[in-house]
Amino acid sequence: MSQETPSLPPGVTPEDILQRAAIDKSTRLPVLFFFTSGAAWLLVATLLGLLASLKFVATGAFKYEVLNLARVQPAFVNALVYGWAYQAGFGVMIWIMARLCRTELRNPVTLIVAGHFWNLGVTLGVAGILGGQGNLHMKLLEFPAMVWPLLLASYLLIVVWLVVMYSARRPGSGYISQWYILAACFTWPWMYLVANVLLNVFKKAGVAGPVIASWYANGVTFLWMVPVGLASAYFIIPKITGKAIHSYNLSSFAFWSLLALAPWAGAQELIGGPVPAWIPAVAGTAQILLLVPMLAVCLNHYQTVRGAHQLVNVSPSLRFTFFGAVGYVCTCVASAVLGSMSLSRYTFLSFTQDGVMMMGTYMFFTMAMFGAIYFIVPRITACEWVSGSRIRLHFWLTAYAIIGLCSLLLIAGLSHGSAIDEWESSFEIAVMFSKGYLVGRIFLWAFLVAANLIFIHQLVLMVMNRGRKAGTPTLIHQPTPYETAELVITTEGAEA
Amino acid sequence: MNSLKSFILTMGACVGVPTIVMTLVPYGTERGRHAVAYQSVPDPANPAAPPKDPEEMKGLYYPVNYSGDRKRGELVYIQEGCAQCHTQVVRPDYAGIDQFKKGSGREQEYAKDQPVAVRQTHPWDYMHEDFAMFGIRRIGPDLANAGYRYLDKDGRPDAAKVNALYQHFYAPRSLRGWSTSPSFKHLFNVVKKEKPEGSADALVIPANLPLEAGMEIVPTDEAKALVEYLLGLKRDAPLPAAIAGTPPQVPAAK
Repeated sequence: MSQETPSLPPGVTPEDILQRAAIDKSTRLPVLFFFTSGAAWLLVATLLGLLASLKFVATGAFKYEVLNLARVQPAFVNALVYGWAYQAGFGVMIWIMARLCRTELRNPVTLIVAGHFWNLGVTLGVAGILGGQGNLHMKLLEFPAMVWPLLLASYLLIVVWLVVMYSARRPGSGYISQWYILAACFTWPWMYLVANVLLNVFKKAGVAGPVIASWYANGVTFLWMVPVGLASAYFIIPKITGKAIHSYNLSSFAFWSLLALAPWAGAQELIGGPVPAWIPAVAGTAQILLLVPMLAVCLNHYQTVRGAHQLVNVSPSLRFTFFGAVGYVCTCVASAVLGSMSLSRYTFLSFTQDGVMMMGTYMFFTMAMFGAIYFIVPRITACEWVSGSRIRLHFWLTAYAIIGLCSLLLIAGLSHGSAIDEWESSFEIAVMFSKGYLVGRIFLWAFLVAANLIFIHQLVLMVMNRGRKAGTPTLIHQPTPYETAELVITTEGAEA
Repeated sequence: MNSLKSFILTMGACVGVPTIVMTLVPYGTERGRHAVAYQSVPDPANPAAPPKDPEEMKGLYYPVNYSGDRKRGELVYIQEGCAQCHTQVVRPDYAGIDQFKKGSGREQEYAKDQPVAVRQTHPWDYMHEDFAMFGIRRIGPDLANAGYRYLDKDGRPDAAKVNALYQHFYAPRSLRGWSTSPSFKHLFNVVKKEKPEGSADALVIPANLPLEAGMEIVPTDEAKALVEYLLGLKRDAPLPAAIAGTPPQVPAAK
């Protein structure tokens, strides 16, 4: 890793343009496949999430066995994570890896076949949960046990081509985003294998079961979503701002410290639970130390964007990525704070855990993926997003909804937990305390459904090649003359 | 770090060591856990030491495995998603007040003015479970010692209380208007009464539950197994001195 690829070469040669076009063409089918099927799962997941939040309050609604609240809730979480987040991540990983390695994708068909098997696995898993066959006591491992070999095999079949691409990269092309993507290629299958072999094959885990499940669930956020989301941010920020990443050493430090610390964290949510006390202590310490790589990433991104902040008003990709970065900070801070002894008294296994999960999965990862999709899709479909105002609407609906949702869940968990922690209060009071927040949650979920419908409509138009044919990128706002000057630099340089 | 090999090796070390420490070591500890005898006779290795466990526990072991309906009920508990909202954990006093909440252990009529702490849950309590049923969220009441809630004064299952448990599954709001629990009607069959007095299993339902004349609500085998599982939830047996180290102590009153 001797060079910084996105540091702009003095002039982009016509060969570069041709090569990029060839790479984009080779990745077109698998990337669009993962984006569209991911978006379909996103719609399913948000509808299930809306239904779950509705059934918490309107308990009599939709009285079907398969739509029981206790099944809809895990079905929503798993559809969101494995259906949407992973597939959006696959698309972004494939495209960024191909672009940075400067190699064309040789096996688009294999990737699509593997993607079909992944979808089959998620469908079977969600259907299994709704059909009453799920392991609904294991966090993020709720799919029926039969599904995990299928998911693991299709994941390996997808990422093996990324590793092949990396090893066949043009010499001298090494960049931080590639590291993060490679890390994501290896960490998730490892954690998934370990967790499933121990919990679904060997069993008899006793209290080690929740420890392993918490470790895995935290790993999904910090060893898969964070690497993929940061890979996308490290790629998009220099591209849009036209500047090289501020510090190579800082990004390298943040990468390795994340990788060295995150696998220790997770079990801190079991503070006070009947597990050996060193486990939550070690995990909580690691979770607090994870603030260090977060600060390093923030500093690096801030220094990179410095002087070009107004571009957040113009570029949809940068705006979503920026919001995702804020979500990353919130996720790290909330996870660290809630792992503390004094707060865990009130937040022990409560709605706050859902709030942090939504922060990591939606406020950070999903927003970062939206940013990447707004960047990538015009390049592989050769047309531009239909309407900047609809992107703006998508952004604001999602932003309001997810900030509100996470805050409501955090507050609901705190008030519910502190009501339980009262000597004389009955459980009824705890339920009453959190109910108001849960009513508010329904409206925010409705916002999210609306936002995602707008997004999916736009995406389908692009996939059907019915986007705008004009050559200029679709922007959120018309830039001021000053910003136009900035944009000219970027479109002529990196964005081409 | 240009070499893929050294990258993978470094990453393997970063993730491999915590994997061993945070998953394999706890797992190995649990696999090595075994039931422990109550020692009410002097330790042969150290005859001078006094016996630690009460005399009446002699010959018993902790914990006792369970099977049959309780085990099947555990599966129903898992698949119906009970653990999504119900925990089975009594935290120690430094982490919460679970030990002193009303209903978290056995009925403590005898100690109204001086509540006796319920024992905190311990890894041994979950030894016979494939995955300790801590639960994912504590949105509903804790069930670590739920078995005590359905007993009569003599410590046997109370028919009316058990019927109320079935009613909670069938129509939670008919019992407690504020409950957010989903209804598990699919664990019951609504059938025509074969005898005028109805079958012995049928639910005794209150007036606020509408039911057609001549019909009755009969729990399925799954519902019965689930109730059997819940009735068996008593995670407060005195720990053998070999685990606890010291004789069971009654903590100071609140």
